Amino acid sequence: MSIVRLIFRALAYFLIGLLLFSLNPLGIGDKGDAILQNAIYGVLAPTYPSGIPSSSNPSSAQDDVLVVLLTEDSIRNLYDDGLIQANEWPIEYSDHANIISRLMKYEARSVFVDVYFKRKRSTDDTAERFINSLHHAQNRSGTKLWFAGGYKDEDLSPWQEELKDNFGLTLNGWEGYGGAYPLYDDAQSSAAMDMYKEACLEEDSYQNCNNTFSSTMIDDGVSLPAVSVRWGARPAAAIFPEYTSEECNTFNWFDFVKQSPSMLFSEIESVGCPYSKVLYADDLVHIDKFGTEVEKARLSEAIKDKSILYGMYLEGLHDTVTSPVHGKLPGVMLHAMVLDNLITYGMDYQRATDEKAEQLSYIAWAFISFILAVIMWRLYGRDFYGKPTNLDSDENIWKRKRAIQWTHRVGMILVIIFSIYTFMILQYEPYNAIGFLVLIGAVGFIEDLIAFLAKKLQL
Amino acid sequence: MKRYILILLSAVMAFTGQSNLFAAEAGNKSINIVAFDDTEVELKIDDKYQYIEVSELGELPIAVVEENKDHWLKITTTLGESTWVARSSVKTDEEPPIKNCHSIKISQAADRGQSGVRGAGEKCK
Repeated sequence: MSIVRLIFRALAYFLIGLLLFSLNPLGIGDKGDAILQNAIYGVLAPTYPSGIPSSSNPSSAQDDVLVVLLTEDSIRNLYDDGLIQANEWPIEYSDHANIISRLMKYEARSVFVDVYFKRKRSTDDTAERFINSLHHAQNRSGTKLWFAGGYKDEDLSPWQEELKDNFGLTLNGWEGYGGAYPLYDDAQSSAAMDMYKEACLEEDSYQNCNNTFSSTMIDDGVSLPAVSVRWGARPAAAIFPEYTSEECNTFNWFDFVKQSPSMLFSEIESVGCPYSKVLYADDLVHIDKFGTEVEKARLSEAIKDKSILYGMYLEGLHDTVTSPVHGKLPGVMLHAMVLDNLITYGMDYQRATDEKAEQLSYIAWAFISFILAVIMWRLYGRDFYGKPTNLDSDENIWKRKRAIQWTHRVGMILVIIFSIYTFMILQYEPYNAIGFLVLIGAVGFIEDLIAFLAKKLQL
Repeated sequence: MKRYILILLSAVMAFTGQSNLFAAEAGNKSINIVAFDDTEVELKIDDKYQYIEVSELGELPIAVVEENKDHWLKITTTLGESTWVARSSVKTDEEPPIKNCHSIKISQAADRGQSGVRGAGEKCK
């Protein structure tokens, strides 16, 4: 009979867990996961990438990815110097071409234009020049070029069709992935994935490409889990420090160790500088035109054969992303960071939870439920049902308390083991840990409830 | 007599390098193209855009005849009656603009935001 009680108890724990996971009341589970992920990624950010550059491998993916930013200052500087036509956003098509074609002139490997062009503006007659100029530059450099193509079910306008036919469109929008970044959405690849293919799956792949995706994985791309983005906190060095008004603090392990405990329990102090290398659009144009030979050589080094993302950072455009360590950054930084993740980790990238992960957590919870039930059964329940009259005895109360304490201890250890296993071995993002801990806490509550009812009903 | 005075004045100004004085005052200071950004350049020749090898444009410097409000420079070539080149594609003999500095600390508070969309801008017609 006692074995039946054990199984009944384990089943009760499991079903309660299943119910809570399925119902996810008030989205507490998802919110808990998001908070946990932010905290863990924030603490681990200074250790990204895992392969810290050494004398044997002095570079990292940080050297392969470059973000070219057009900001308020860039537009003003370029306009004031007579180098672009528009003094305000949106700048003219030919102004974009002026910037992008320079990236091709310096032989960038690939360029993703994170500007969503929908219809030709009736107030701008430079669209044809834009296409011609980019074509001309592309024919000479061989640079791969994509434009932001919106969502998978985008109803393409004639202008988008033109961009697609001449260069290429790639996904930069999706839904249903939470904070994760899909590599494919219904067989259509996203911006970072397209750039990754060009960076690591071609013959002359980057030296920093690790664990590159197998062709089978790419062919079967639809089933690849989305990326749970790992952000780095070691800022890239400025390409032109002489034109930089503020410097970023270099990483310091002492400060990191000092701050780590507070990161878990309080607001993380934001890192002002982004992880990816940044080149401002006006610096690009200015140095290309007026720079010294040394500056031009540095510009060439920063662009040649690099994966480049061209984006905007303008007040009121709302294309921003919030990083666990930086606060708000331009949206283009998300694509850059995912590309960096892919180059750095390859197919070992941190995965967002998928169906397999959910199934795994149910199996884990079934196992934890059984272990907790065994603890309760061994330390408390076996006697409890046999001797109902002793419910109020000091010994019984003490036994119940001790058994519940043991479920907490063992349960917590099991959750930590599960979390480490899924995070480090299976490369899943931190998930369900808070839900599990809540459930383990609830085991004590349920046992208390059982005891209370048993007393009332004089079982 | 007046003619001699004018000739004398012109000779003095030419000697002292002040020959462009009147032109500069009139906003027509002579500008010369001293370099192109690339080996090919986009030109607007008789209202048609085309790319031309810069070597076809002759020896540098090339005198700029006129500059329009969109910063296109008119030059004299044998390619057409009217040839224009964008200022953004060339380097002139003017003093280069001073390079402004940027901060690379670009992150903002996570809760920063405004409930409005950026307008089309002044340049839109």
